Amino acid sequence: MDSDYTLCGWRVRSELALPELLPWVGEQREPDVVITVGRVTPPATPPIHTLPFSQIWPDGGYLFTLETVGRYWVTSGKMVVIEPVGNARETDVRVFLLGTIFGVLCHQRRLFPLHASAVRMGMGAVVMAGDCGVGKSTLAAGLRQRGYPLVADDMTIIQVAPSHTPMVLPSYPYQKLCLDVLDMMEIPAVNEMVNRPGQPKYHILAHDGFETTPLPLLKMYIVYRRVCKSPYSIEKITQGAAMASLDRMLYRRIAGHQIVPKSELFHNVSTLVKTTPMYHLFINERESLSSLDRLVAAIEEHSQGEVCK
Amino acid sequence: MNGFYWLASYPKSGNTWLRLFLASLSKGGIPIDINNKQFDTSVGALRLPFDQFLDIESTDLTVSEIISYLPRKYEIEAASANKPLFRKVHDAYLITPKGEPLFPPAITLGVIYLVRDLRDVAVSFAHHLDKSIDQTITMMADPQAMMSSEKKRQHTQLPQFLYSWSGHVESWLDAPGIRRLVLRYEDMVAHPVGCFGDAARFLGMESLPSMVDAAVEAVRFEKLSAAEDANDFVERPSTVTKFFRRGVAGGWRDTLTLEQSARIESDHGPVMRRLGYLP
Repeated sequence: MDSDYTLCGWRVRSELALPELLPWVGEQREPDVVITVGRVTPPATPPIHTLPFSQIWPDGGYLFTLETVGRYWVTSGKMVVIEPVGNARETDVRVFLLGTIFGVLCHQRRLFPLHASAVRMGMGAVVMAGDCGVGKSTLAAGLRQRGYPLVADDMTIIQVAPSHTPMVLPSYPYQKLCLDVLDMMEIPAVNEMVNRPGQPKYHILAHDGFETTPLPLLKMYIVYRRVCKSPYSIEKITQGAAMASLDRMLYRRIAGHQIVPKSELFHNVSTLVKTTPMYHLFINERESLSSLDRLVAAIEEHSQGEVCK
Repeated sequence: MNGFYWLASYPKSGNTWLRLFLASLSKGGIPIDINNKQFDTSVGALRLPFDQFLDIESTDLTVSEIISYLPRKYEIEAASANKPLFRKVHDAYLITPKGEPLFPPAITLGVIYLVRDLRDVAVSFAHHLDKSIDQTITMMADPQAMMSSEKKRQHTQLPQFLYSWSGHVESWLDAPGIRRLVLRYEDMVAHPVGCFGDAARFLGMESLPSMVDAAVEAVRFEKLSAAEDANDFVERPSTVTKFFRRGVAGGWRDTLTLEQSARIESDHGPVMRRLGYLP
């Protein structure tokens, strides 16, 4: 039986149960995204781009294949057909649906998905972008513990429009955190919520207190780890460096560059750079989790003022 | 033709020393900044390039899936390059779940395989891992041993199967159809100009003898150690106080107990004899 969920402000109707998402409580309108389970039939015409896991067609149609989980066919920013392999775990199917497929839907709908986490501070959202493993989710978890509602984890969706401040849309209401962080924060890891079998990463639901409304983008930190003498430093970024960083942090970057016209991507990036205060947050490669509190406090202080350490 | 030169070794066998030499030689033998080599010999198993080339989150993949698709990543990476690529690898030369070599032969220009007396490796590796020597000896005999596969956190490198030390050595020495140069750490210590010169020629980095001499001098152990003391070393794990620790051959005699050396020789005798480390 189909159920309706909320994601990014969309009404998502899904044949597959999506317990990670909050139920739809908005207006009674046609669903914005429809997810069905069935046979995937991509076009007979050749794709314009092929990678081992994905193929993209001229109209932006996207086929994702992982032989051990299934195939996903995404079109028009609206329709998702999933063909799981016979013995695929439902949780595995959802990992890629709420990850790669969600990112592709955003590109097809001309939104701007970033490898980033975000929390609400005051009247807007503060975003922490960075490569995998740099600590985006850990920082967001630390800020959540200080009372800042989660807006997004791992993938932050930004709506860039000419007429208003870029808006951060509420993403999926859970965090992906590794066991070392969970241990430190004394958050229990439930076996059934492991990201994929054998991994140290778990899904931690964040339904309580999750921010469900779009928020103006206040500030962005691009997080890097490097060997340096100080525990961390926060430095303003030049526009050129910010543009390069934003392109690098684009979620499903190759798919985005195939689906979205280059001029549009460039416009989104340059608009963000011009309208959003952006900083590099350099974290000392040698810093352990025990210094998380200090780092989170520094972000909190900097976000609320212009004090740089 | 583009492709990869694999700078392959079991851990703590001289790989970093070779890579720093190549960095210096690439600039004509000048002194180098150990934290900014400007000659790419990065780890083949880095997570970020895998994600970027395949447009996927490797953190959403199982170990088996990652290993199955690594050859595709290497193929795409080679196709996108306009010159030969050099990659440090600690992986054993394994066959993936899809039944193909992890390192595709069609894009393998050559392999430099570095070996070191396992008794010295044991001492160095124990320091590197912050484990006891006995624990390290056990790990080196474990055919399922892996790197970057911590149970509690996700590493910036992808998981790498080491096999046992013997398994690692045999996998690389017996890999069919590969152009290969084997370098012994002990020979590099005793005859650095000859060994590093052989490495340079093998990699197509033809250089004047004076440049090889200068590059060998630039990466003398004492200089690397002093550079690390001054400015840290970016490749030093946080659990280790000093990466460039001793840089000698045969230092195990001062450190291993008789039982420990006997255990190593018992576990790995045939391969140690094959490499000339046992009579």
